Amino acid sequence: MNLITHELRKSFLNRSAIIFLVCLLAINMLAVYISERIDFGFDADIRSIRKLDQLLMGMDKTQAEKYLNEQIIIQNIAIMDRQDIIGIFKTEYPDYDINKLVERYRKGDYDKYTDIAYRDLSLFRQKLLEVESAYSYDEYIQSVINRAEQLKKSSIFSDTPFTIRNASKTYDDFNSLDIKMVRFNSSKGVLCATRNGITPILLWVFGIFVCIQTFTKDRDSHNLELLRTMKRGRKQLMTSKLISMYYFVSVSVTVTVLSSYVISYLLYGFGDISMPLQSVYGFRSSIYEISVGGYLVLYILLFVAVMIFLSSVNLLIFVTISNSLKGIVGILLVMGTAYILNKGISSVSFFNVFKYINAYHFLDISRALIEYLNINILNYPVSYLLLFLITICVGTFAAFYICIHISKKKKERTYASSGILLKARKRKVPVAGIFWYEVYKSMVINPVIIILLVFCIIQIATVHPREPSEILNKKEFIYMKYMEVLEGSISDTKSVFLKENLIEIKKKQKEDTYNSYTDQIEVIMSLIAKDDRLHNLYDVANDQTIRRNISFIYERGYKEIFTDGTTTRFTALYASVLIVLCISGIFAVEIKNNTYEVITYTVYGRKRTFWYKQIITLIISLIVLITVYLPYIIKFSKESGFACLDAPIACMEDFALLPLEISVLEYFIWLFAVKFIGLIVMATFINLVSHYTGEPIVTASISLAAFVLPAFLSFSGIREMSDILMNVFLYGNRLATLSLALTIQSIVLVIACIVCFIILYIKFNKVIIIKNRKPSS
Amino acid sequence: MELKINGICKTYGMIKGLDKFSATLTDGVYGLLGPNGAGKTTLIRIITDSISCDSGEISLNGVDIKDLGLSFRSYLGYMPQQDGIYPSFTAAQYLSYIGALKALRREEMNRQVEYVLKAVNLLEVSDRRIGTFSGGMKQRLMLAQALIGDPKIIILDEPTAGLDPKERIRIRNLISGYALNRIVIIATHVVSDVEYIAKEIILIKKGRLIYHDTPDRLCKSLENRVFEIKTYEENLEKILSRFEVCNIQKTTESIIVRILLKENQSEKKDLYGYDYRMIRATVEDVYLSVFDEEREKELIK
Ligand SMILES: Nc1ncnc2c1ncn2[C@@H]1O[C@H](COP(=O)(O)OP(=O)(O)OP(=O)(O)O)[C@@H](O)[C@H]1O
Ligand SMILES: [Mg+2]
Repeated sequence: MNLITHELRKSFLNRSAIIFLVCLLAINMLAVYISERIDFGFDADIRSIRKLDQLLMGMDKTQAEKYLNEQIIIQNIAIMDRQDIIGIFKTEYPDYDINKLVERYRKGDYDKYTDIAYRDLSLFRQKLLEVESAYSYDEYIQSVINRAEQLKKSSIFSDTPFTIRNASKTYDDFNSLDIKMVRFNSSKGVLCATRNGITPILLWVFGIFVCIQTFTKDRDSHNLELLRTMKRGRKQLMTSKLISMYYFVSVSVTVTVLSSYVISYLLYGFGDISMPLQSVYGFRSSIYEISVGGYLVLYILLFVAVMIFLSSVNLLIFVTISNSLKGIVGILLVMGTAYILNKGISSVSFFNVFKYINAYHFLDISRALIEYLNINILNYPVSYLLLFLITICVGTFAAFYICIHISKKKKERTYASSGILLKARKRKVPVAGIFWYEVYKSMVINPVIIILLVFCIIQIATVHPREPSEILNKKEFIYMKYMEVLEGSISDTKSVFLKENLIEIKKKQKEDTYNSYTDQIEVIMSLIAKDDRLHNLYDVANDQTIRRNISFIYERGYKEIFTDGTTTRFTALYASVLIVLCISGIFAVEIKNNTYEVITYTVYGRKRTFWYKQIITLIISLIVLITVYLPYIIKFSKESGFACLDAPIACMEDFALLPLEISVLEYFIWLFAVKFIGLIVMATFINLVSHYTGEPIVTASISLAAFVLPAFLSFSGIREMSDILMNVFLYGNRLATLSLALTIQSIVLVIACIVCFIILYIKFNKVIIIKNRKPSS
Repeated sequence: MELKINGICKTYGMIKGLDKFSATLTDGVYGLLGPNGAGKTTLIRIITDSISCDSGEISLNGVDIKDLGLSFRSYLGYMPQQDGIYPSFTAAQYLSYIGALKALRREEMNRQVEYVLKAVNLLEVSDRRIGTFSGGMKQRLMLAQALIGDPKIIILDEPTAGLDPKERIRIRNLISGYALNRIVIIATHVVSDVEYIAKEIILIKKGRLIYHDTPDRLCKSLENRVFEIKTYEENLEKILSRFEVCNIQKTTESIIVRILLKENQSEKKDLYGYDYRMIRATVEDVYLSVFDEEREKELIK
């Protein structure tokens, strides 16, 4: 016991472990929060979901459906208040008094949640789905049972023995299920708490860190050599290491998952946690008779079990490979294989056991409880949860056992070969260039790589393309469809097509009693106007290539990047925070460690160190630029595409004032060049401060105040802030359009940056400008 | 090789760090002695071109080191007073990094790193992280760092602070071995570190050079002033108040007190009645005589 507490204190109760844990918690909460906000839309009040859920939980089925349907109709009217729409609703909702609803709408007598009509509308639609799903639970179960019964009886459908056995198992499982009174329950909180993709990934990364702490710390520092002379054997030592690791993993997993719970609870609440699990939207195929509260507790326990299993496996990899770097590569390989198996194997395959019983799938912990899944083991169906638990228990135990025994053997071998160090071991002196040492100092010791990696995970988890139907309203959708046809250079056929199409649709509109073509007509009209404008540009332009390039451009993707919208503000904030975190330590590390005095007396210590540090600064700025913006560029290119890169930027209405000579691609490059310059200017200032203060933390706080605060203020809506300091570069759009005030400001900033650079150069290299030589007496 | 320091002045605001310091150094060990704040580190920093001086110049073989620049630094090995290490480097990595900074060729590196590690007795822990080292181990690593790359001018600022006696002796022998064809400057307060290996001793006080001579001649200057008195416990008070006491040694039956006569005291007059004998002065006595007079003068003022 004493040994365990000692281990625990040594490996995990030290500063770096605690800081890591605190960072983990902060990142987890922040990432969950941000991803929820992004999903719901930053402009809308996210608490409205909770408000609506609470209202609906107080209603019964008919009340809830009536309420939601009425709201949907009213919101539809709010979006398109026209006589023809009302006609459509009358046929679509015969049970509702549409006229009365219209009257209510006119009086404003209806509920607003987000104040944004189409968001409210999609919210109500979603809730209607949830309400219907909850109250149709009994029918759902019946249908599953019926289908299973059918499959069981008619062997024609069943091609393998597994299918029949599976059907009869399904039949039994669902038949014996006794869940009553499934009602509507608020689900968003539970989903966010247990189904978000962020927490498992973060904890997995954390698991690797824990392994490094447990194992490599001692090994690298050769404490093991001392420890093995202790009274207690190595076996006990390794056991206590493992147990202390399990203890730490359990605590940190629990705390982290709880932090996700806290965020989810604050955002959405957990609804009625005494209701059966099946009341949560999407969980109704679960066959476990537990309440939502029980599920939340079980989830934590399962999570802890999975992480203990994974960290045992990781530690096993470390112990066998016995080199931290290769160990990490090994862990990544194992996880990569698991990922490929999970994605590659079909769910009905004979080998689907490898799809589901695998480390990657285990990270999706809640599935074991909420999904009904039988695994094919030699053609016998076995419940997933059972296999999951068996694998985890057996796996953990096996890893534990092997770890202890391997490490025992290993220690004995090194002991023998070093044999009280009579035989001098062949030592390898690391030979690397100055540049690589500099990289090691600036990016590994100064944890830039970890920061960027965590940020990448956040980006991957939060930024993903969405379907057009999720983000576009009807008119935008029609516009997109037309653009798919029209996109490309203007031509007479396109003009003719538009005009003919207009006539055709107008004819249809006349025949149609519901006037359902109004939107389309509006879109065509706007397109015709656009066509005219482009033709005018064509006439104005006198260069043949420009003329040829004048095109219809689908603007949506470009607009997100080329205007000061949410994306631009958000990315500017990200970029400035990252630069501050990554650059603050680069110069400070020498002063802080007192190594400045050492390296500056050497031959290459001044100039080379200085320039390499500058190169690293550049590289980091570039990586930051890429990690911040690339995911968004990919997202928008998937959502709406970036076509017509050769076309003049003036083809887009928002940029009509720019000269025709500038193409979209040129603007794109120019914009990102400006952003990159902004990052470099910031980095140069930070480097100077860093060299003077000699403390990364102090530097970071100063630069946070100087650079991140303006970005944050303008992010939170103070428009004026977007035109000052670094935001000039980070936003870039107004600078790219060559607004005079901003151009002057940016030039001043760049000059100041160059001055800073020169000062830093002189200071760091101890250049003496004026030689004050006294004539020798 | 000849390192010539000529009239160096350096002020920090109001404080005079160095005041017209001049000396000429050739191959061999130089002991730079002085109390805290005397200006040793300041002098060393100026020699290593870490800080610039207000006036004066330093030249190597007749060429100003500012003009030599890079090639001057290629001669240097410098161990600063404070540890300058990266806690997450291993000892071998650190040395190979410094070696690379000193423009060592890759083929040389392996041999050099191993050699200096062995010299400071750190070979066994060469791939441990420096962060896990003890104070004395870090100190030795700093020395190794100064020695790597075979420098011709080795400057050590308190190299033996925090070392155990065995290591202290090892290091001392190591340094004297190095000094055959190199200039070695050792700044220290520990007189015994330099007493026997130094070719010349430089005493520095308040930024000014006080003495610069060989240890022998320094000791000669105190001839007839160092005595040992054999006495008993009850007389100790009186002796302490009267004489400058260097050492008190207790034996089973009596006490032996080593004293230094002041300028105005004489053997005949003041030691009358004691059981005393004259002994040879050591550098430590010189140090005490120089820096204690100082204290007294201040007291009188
Ligand atoms: N950076 C500085 N700024 C201001 N004063 C300084 C600075 N460095 C040294 N001094 C002053 O210069 C004088 C000489 O300091 P120096 O460090 O050279 O002494 P030292 O002989 O090395 O002392 P020690 O034995 O304690 O190392 C001291 O009075 C000190 O206060
Ligand atoms: Mg000093």
